[in-house]
This record gives sequence, structure tokens and C-alpha cells, in this order.
Amino acid sequence: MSSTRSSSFWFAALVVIAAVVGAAWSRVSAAPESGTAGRAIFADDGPPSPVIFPTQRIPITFSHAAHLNRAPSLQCVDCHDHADDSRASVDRLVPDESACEMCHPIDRAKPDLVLPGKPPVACVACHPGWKPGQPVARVEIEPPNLKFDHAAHKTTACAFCHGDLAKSGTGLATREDLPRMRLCLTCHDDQARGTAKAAPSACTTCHLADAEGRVRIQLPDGLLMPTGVLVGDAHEGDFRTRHANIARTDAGYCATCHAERFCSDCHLGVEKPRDFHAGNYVLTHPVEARRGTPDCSACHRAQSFCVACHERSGVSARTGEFESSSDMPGLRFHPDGFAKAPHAREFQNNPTACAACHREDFCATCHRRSGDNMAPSNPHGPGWRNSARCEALAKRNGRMCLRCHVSAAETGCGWSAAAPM
Amino acid sequence: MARVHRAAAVVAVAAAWVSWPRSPAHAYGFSIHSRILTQAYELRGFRLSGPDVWLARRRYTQTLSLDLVDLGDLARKRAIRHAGRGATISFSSYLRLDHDFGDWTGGSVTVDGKSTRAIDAVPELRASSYGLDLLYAYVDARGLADGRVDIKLGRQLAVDALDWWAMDGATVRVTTPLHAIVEGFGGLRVRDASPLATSQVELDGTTGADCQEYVEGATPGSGAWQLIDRTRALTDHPDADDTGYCPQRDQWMPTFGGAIETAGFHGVFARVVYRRSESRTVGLLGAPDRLSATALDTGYYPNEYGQAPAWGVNEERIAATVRANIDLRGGTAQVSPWAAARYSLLHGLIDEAEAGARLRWHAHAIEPEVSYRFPTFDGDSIFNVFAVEPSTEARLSWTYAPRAGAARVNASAWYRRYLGDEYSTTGVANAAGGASAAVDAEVDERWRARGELFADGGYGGRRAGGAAALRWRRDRAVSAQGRASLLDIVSDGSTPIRAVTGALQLGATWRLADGVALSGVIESSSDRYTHFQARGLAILDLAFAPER
Repeated sequence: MSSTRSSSFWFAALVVIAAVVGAAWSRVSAAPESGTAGRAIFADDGPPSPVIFPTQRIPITFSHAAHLNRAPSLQCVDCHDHADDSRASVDRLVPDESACEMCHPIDRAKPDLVLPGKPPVACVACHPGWKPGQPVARVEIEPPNLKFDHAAHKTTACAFCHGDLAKSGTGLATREDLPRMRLCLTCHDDQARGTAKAAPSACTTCHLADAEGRVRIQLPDGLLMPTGVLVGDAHEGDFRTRHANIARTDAGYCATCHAERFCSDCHLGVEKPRDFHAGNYVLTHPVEARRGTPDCSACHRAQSFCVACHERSGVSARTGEFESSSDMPGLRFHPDGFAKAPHAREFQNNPTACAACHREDFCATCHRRSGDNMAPSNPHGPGWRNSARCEALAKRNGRMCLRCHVSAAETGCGWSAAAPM
Repeated sequence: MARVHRAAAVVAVAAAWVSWPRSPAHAYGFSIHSRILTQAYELRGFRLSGPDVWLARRRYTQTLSLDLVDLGDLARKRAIRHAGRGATISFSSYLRLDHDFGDWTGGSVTVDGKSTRAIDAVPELRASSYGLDLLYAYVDARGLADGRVDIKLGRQLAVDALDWWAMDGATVRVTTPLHAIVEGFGGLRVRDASPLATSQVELDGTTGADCQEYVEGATPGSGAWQLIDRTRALTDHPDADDTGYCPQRDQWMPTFGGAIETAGFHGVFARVVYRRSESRTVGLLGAPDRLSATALDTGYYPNEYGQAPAWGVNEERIAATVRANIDLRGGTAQVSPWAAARYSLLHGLIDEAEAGARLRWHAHAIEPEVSYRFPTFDGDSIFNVFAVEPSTEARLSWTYAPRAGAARVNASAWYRRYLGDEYSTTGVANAAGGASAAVDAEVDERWRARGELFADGGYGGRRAGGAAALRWRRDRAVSAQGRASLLDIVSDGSTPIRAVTGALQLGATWRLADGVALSGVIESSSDRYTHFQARGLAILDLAFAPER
């Protein structure tokens, strides 16, 4: 039977996948060993998430490269003086004017002052476009929606996370110079366990947690969604309709962000998902239901949900096919003669579609063994006799067989009405 | 009704037990989420004689989710003794009340010329009438035995290799030093007849309405299987009426199994799981139906050999999944292959399998995948023994999703082939396929737009259409969205449904306070059959969930 061929195919597919995984094992998680991360290495991850690092406004002229190259002994903490003892990401670590005044003798009373041979002190040198009498454009840097303890990372070089800001052309340090998750994972990963750089790997080590200890995904600046760095689960495109392969493989991973109620509100829900079952879905659902794609059983039990609706609305065997509907004349669910041969093919394609209207007893009305001649309505199909499927079913649940076969002569998978044992 | 009363009694006892004074309470975290949904719409009821009727659905649904975190005094102990590491105990539950006040469930239906209460004629409607469902409620103890053992006890939902299921029981997970977690679980599988249960998690293929009983004839062994007589009052069963009574589906379904999975590799995950559910064969309904004591009757359905098997397997499966995530070129490219297969020991065949990969290059991602499906049912269902053929599906998706871009695009194409060639004498198509594409664009900080097109055809029929959606966000408190769709549909068959249908959805959300939101949606549609339909939905979200 074709199922045997398919079994072999799927076994081979599993072997191939396993080989790919094995071969790639040693290449997992390429990561920088030291120093120059930030923009340089993880720029391809794109800019940082605006949900984690909200967009900023920094209306200032400043060059990190110029400062660091002109004064090689300058350390980050010389200006960012609380950076090494900060314990929370809400701490404001951007230097204020007093830090600049170490080198720039600013005199607010003389906004246009120029001191030959000295660093610039005029207001417009740092605040471009400022005009006397006008308020200075404010720097707007919202705290990140993330936990971070600079003090705990004191032994790590600043450049490891923020990149080499002395590199030629580096001006302001912006969101672009904040680390991406891939960089954090070089230490905060179970794979680093046992090494000197091992660090806690729980997601909520860095991400904000809700009361249940899960990653908080509803943040003030939007909905936090994965980019796929961890398991290739980027929640983009049509992920909402095709997330099954991730969820089924590693449901525990999903649970780091989602409580069971998140899943059950759709899968066991009582409210129609309006984008997935758009508009007039009651009218249009038969096409998808007959195909079995998408899989209706992911959310609906045919012999409960579907049968209830079809029976109540009259689209069922018991209350008649709706060919007599005065509002929809001529419309029929099954064509003439469907009770004969054609329905078998439909059942073979997708029996769940049949089970959405018909209960078992409806089928058994014709297919039940009665008298000595049941061959015309034998439901088992070719190859059933002595098949592995028959043997397995009969061995594990004989009740099913007894629904139709009631005499001793009819039991066992070798029995045939056409060729009695 | 008896089930509702029984359910209410269970809740009352549980509430009393929880609130009974004990030793001084320790600090714990908690969160409460509640949703109130009201829905109003109508569905067509087709009639063999006379005009069709429109049946009202007036649904009221209330959910209550309660999570208690860090029960006991373990947080302090963790801080003092284990540098923050150690055991945590939490409790999670999700309760739902769902009721339809409309004549969909409350009306009557005429069957064989006799008018009957709809809910009696169609027992499956009970699920949406006085539906009080405890979707899950469990105690979760994690990090026991120095972080090696996790125990979950109670009603639990599980998403496992290739399916959903639920169980009243216990799950124990042991983390070994060998990058592996060993899991064992056992209990009673949740089915419709379980206390406070929803039928949605029960194995498919059987229904209570067609439940049968063996009724003995004049002489032993001359009886016959018959549908349960629903007009007869039962005296030996606690149900006040017998319409929902199905002895086999009321049986407990002991379930047990185990799993082994990888742990500690963020690049590779694999899991193998085994599960078996079985149920005892029910006895006859009562003494009048039993064989005489001298016959072979021990309370089970008889056959000529004497007895049906005392137990039957409802499900027995073993499944394996593997997934990997491989970074290439420093993360510039990424390959994420996966594969899963499920073998049903009850049916002696692989009933589901899938394999695929996500290949990302910069902002582009391509996902080829193939899947295979052989429909299977509850071991008690006769659908299992009917001739069924598997189907295979191939799908290819492309996504362009730049982190910094204003527009995102995705497109996919699929092809599904039904393998019933051996029986193909009817001219029915043995394949179906389709394609879809969507663009999601952020117009500015307030406006977001989405457009999508799709077309498919083959077995089942043909559909072609599209939708456009617009979302407006005034601020964090107020947002609104609209969606318009147009669809041309022709179902296959000799007299198919042919319609062009349009639908419009308008909705708005007002966040009244932190954790409190009110939403309303109006949906209308029109086509040549139903002309105009409207559907209203209102949702009140209440959350008391302090963050930490």
C-alpha cells in the first residue's frame, strides 16, 4: 500500500535531517571571542528592536572617535562615571554638561565664545542649530525595556558590547551601538556552562518578567516578538497560521513567553478569530474543510463541534440535505447518486470532513455486517485482510470490531465474507 | 443539568478547601486575568419544508485565569541558602463559563415529524450551553532535588509532538547531567465526560448521540446492538435525562507515557515521546439487559466467544521531533531544519510526519516544507477501519522582513495530493493547490496597513480573493482597525456553491486603565445566499498582573 512507501520515505527524511543536524553541530552559535562587537559583527541582525530599545532623539554633535583618538588615555568611565556601578537599566548613564566641562570650559553667559587652542566651548558646537534665546533641544533617551546590571558586567570590556567607538568616523553612540541578543548569548547560554564566561541563561535574566515569571511581551513601546535568533521562530509573515512546527517540537520554548491560556484562547476558544476565519466563513468554509488544509482538527473536534453545528442548522443526514431550502433552490451538498460509489473516494481523501456531519452509526447503517453478504458495502478496502493495520487495531481494541462483526466466524483479520475461513 | 450541578459542587468544595484557615500565609506573587465576551449573531437553519429560519446565538462567555507564583516560603530560602536558585512552586488555572441564550441551543428542532428540544435532539449542543470548563488547573513544582526534578500535578494541557491533549494527572521531569531530560506522566485523559471538561480535547471519531448498547433478546446470545433509547428514562444512571448518556464515552481513560528530550543546547532540540490511553469496556445498562448468571455474562458486551475485551486502547503513539538552528557566517545566514514523525501503534502506521527548514539570508527567509497525514481516530471509532488514503502536502514560503523597513512581505504556495488513485473512478480531483501573498506596511507612527491576495483550486473547490486592513493607533489607550475582504468561491460538486462574498469588520479598543481594556467589533457580510449578515462582539479584558 502507499502508506508503506510513505513510511520508508519519512524514515529516510528523518535520517537526512539527523545527518544535517549532526554535521552542523560543531558550527552552532558562531560568536565573537573578544572585543569588537556592536555594529561591526552583529549589524546584520538589523537595528535593535524599538520595543526593547525605544527610539531616541539625540540632537547633539559629538564624535566618540575624535575624543578617544585625541586622548588615548581617556576611559569610558571618565565621562560615563556611573557606568561601572550602575545596577539597573533605568539608570541614566549619558554624561551631562559637567562631564564636558572637564575639558570644555563652557560659559553659558557667553554662548558664542571661542577660545583659540582650546576645545570648542560655543553652544552650537554641541547643540547644532541652537540660537540665543531659544530652548536647547532636549536629549530624549527612554530607558530600555530590559534588565541590565552594568556593575555585574564590570569585568567585561565596554567595547565587547558597545563596539569599538574609537574607530574612525564613529560619532554619537546611539541605539545602533547597543548589543543585540546574539551577543548576550555568547555568555548567557547553557552551551557556555562550565566555561569561564558562563552566565545565567534564563530569558528573564535580561527580559522583563510578568508575575508568572514568563517573559513580558506586552511592553510600553509595543509587542515583543522574537527575531528567530534562538530557534528560527521569527514571528513574521504568516507565522500565526504556521507556528505549529515550532510549538509541536518544543512547546516548552513557547512557554517562556506564553501562558497556556494564550494558546487555548484560540485552539480551544469560543470566539472566531476574525483574520483567520475572515468575514463570511460559514459560507466559505466547506472548501477548506473538505481539503483538510488548514487542519480543522487543530481547533475543532469534528464529532462534537462540527456535528453540533451541522445538525442544528439542518446540513446533516438526519435533518436532510438542504436541497429543499426555499432560499437556496437547487443547492445540494451531495450530488445525485452520491450514496453509491463516489462517496468512498471523498471519505478516502479526508474522512474528517465526513465525520463533521455524519456520526458513526450513519455509516454503519449500510456498512455493518448483516446476513452473509456484506461484500458490496465492505468498508475496509483492498488489502485489509491480514493487513498490519487490521491486526494492530483488532489486537488493541476489539470493541471496534464488535460494532459490526458479531459472530465467531467473523472475528479475526483473516476473515472474509467472500472467502469464509 | 446534573453535570452542571456536579461541576458547581466541585468548585464549591475546591473554594472551601483553598480558603480554609491554615498556618500563616507566606508572600507569593499572583496574577488574575478575566475576560468577558458577549457575541450576538444569527445562523441559518435549513428546512426541508417552509422557508429557512434564522437561529439566534446570544453568547456570554467569562474566563478567569488565576496564577499564584512562588507559593510557600521558598523565595526566602532560595535567597538565603541557594544564592537565588532552588525550588519554586506555583499554581495556574483557567476557568471558562460559556452559555448561549439564543434559540440556537434553547429552541426546538423537528426530527421525523416530532418537535424536540434542540439540545435533546443534538446532544453535542450541550458544549455551548452551561459550559463550565476548567481548561487547566495544576500545581507546578520546579527545581526540586537541587534543580533536577520538576513535578506538575493536576489538569494540564500539553502541546506535544504533533498534537494537543489534556490530562488529569502528574508529570515528572528529571534533568540528567547528560544534556537530557527524562519525563514520565500518568493520569486520566480529559474527555467530555470528565468533570468540568471540554469536549474539544477528547479524541475525535466518536459521539454520544449515536452511542449504542447491547440489548439481550429472548434467549441468551440473541440480542442486538441498538442505539440507546433516548426516550426512556434511566433509573440506574445519575443523569436526569439520557440524551447525553453514553456509557463507553463516560469511562475513565487512564493514560500514561514517557519522553526523553535534549536539554541545554540552544542550537538543537530533539524529543521522543510515547503515550497510551485506554478505557475499560462498559458493562450492560442494567439487570434486565444482562444474561442469566449461568451464562457467560460478567458485565461486558457479549459476543459468541463470551466476552468483549475488558479494556480497549483508545490511542497509542510514539512520536519523534528534532529541530536545529544553525548560524552561518556570523549570523548573516541561518538554517533551521525540523522534522517530526508520529507512529500510531493502534493503527500500525505512521499517521503524521513533516519536515522542513527555514533558511534565512539577511532579511529574507525561505521555508520549504513537506507533510504527510493519514487520518486516524479514537480507538473506539469505526472510522478507523474504513478505507482511508494518506495525503501529502508541499509548501514553500518566502518572507521579507527587514528590522528597519517600513514594509514586510510574505508569499507562499502549496500543493496537496491525495493518494487515493486506486479508487479513482469518479473524476474527483486528487490534488489541490494555491498561493497567497501579503504586504504589511507601517505608514507612520499611527497608521498601519495590510493587504493580502490569495487563490487556490483543485479538490474542494476554488477560491480567489483578497483583503485590506487598516489600523489606527491614537495613543497607547485608543486604537481602531478595519478590514474589508472580497472572495469569489466555487465549491466543487454537481450543484456547487457559487458566490462572491464581501465582508467588512470594524473594531476599536479602549484601554481604560493599566490592565483594563474594552473592545468592540462589528462584522458584516453579504452574498447571494444570505444577502446581509451582521455579527457583534464586545470584550472586556481585566488583568491584575503586577510585573516583577
